[in-house]
Amino acid sequence: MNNIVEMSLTEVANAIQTKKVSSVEATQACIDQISAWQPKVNAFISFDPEDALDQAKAADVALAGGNVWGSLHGVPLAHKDLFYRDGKRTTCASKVLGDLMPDYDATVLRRLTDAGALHLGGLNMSELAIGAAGRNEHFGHCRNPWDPDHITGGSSSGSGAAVASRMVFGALGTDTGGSIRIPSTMCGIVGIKGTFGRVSRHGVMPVSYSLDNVGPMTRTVEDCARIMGIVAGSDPNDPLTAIEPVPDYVGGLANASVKGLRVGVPTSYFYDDVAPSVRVALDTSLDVYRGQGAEVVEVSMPDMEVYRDLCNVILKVEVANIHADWLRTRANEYSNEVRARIEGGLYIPGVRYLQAQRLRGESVTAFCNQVFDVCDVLHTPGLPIEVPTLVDTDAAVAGNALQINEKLAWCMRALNYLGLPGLAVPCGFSANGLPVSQQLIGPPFSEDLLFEVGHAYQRETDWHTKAPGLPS
Amino acid sequence: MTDKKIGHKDVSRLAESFHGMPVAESRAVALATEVNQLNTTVQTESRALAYDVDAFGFSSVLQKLKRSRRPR
Repeated sequence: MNNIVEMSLTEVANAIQTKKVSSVEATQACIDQISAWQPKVNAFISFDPEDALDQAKAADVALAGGNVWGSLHGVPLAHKDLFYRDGKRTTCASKVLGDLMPDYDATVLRRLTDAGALHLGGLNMSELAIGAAGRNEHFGHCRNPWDPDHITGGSSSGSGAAVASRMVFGALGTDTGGSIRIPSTMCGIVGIKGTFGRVSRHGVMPVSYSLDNVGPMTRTVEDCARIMGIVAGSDPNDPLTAIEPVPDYVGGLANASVKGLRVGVPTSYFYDDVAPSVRVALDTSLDVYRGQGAEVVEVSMPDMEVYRDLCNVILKVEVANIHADWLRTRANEYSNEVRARIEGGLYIPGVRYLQAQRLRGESVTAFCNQVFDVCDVLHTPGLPIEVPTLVDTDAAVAGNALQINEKLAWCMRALNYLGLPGLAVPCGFSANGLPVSQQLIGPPFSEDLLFEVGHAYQRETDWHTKAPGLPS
Repeated sequence: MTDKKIGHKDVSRLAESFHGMPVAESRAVALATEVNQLNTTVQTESRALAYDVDAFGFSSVLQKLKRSRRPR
């Protein structure tokens, strides 16, 4: 363990720009951390330390010459292995796309590069970004840094594990049904799925055109806001990006306050069957908001199971569409579990798919009218159960694996259908010693508000500073 | 009137015609159950759809909601 990797992304970015730490020193610290942790958690699929140090040396040379590339000058990051980089193999953690060699950069990677960030490698993930547990038969399961017998959650499993174990200062993930927020929750870090259309998906392996989101995963809310401010915004290459202007997320944190804010606690669905120790951590987080002057109010929920089902209809049909040709010609290259999830979409009539799409606009309108007339932000568990083990989620071994796996995205999936932003913020540990997180949900394009609330929470608490110890 | 349910043999038959890989009966049963559940939900909810709702106008709905509902 070394001190540089204990810095937040914001701190190391400032330290590099003020020349207290060089980019080479920061990158070498990450390389050392990766060397120690990779055998324990399997967070990286590809990693090239020489290339990383070459990038860092170039950053230091530029800085010495007075050339600051941007607000992330010389900061080492790594991303889920489904973001395209020109000339770099992108596996999508699969056999089917294992030899994909893009000839252009994803918009989000280009924006991070323009801001000065370095790219250390490709991070592990669920095969083809399908699967909430983070399991992967082709590249090996990613393991939770807090206890490697436990899952990281998925599908952005490596992003969660790498950030939590201080291998990198931040990472990008993608979220089609919870895939940023689930591993953020299970690994005890911060992650945001923005409003649908907030961040470009150009150059990102698709799962579902209607549901995919890109977002940052970091240790602090401030770091998350910093990366979101760089990657968010319209992109002509992704026609579904919103033309809404991007607020100054980091600037808005200076005076972040929850005084007078109505924090909503759902009266149904989210807390159904919540584990007792998870409940304690969540209740304690609500006390923090009360102590800061917020009003905690109960909120009656629409039928969230309907939204979850509608989400699954769209997801299954769109992913089946994307994989249809490969499913015909290369079916044996998918794991059985992933192939079964994909082919579910083949059995859903086109009429039902279109109806699920048509219901989306009025669903989110009804949800906002019912929920956000009563509260400003909704506060839910990230995960209602304690983080399960790899064995717990193995359908071939555990008899109740299906029930457990259903719970992994329980609090997440409906948000992808509704297109609303959700921010996972760690708020303690459950009885098994694994992290617990709160999820903050807001109206469309309220990412700035969610960041303010989460930042206000982290000013009063220290969960985000806790680091897992290197497993023996 | 609801959709006629698909059975696990339907799933196996469709899988055979689509990619030729065998589907275990337990998996086919689970798939059929899930698909039936999803189809029923959509069919039930879609009764509330207005005639002129635009299937692909979702992004504009979000932006209209933002304008009508400032967070604080």
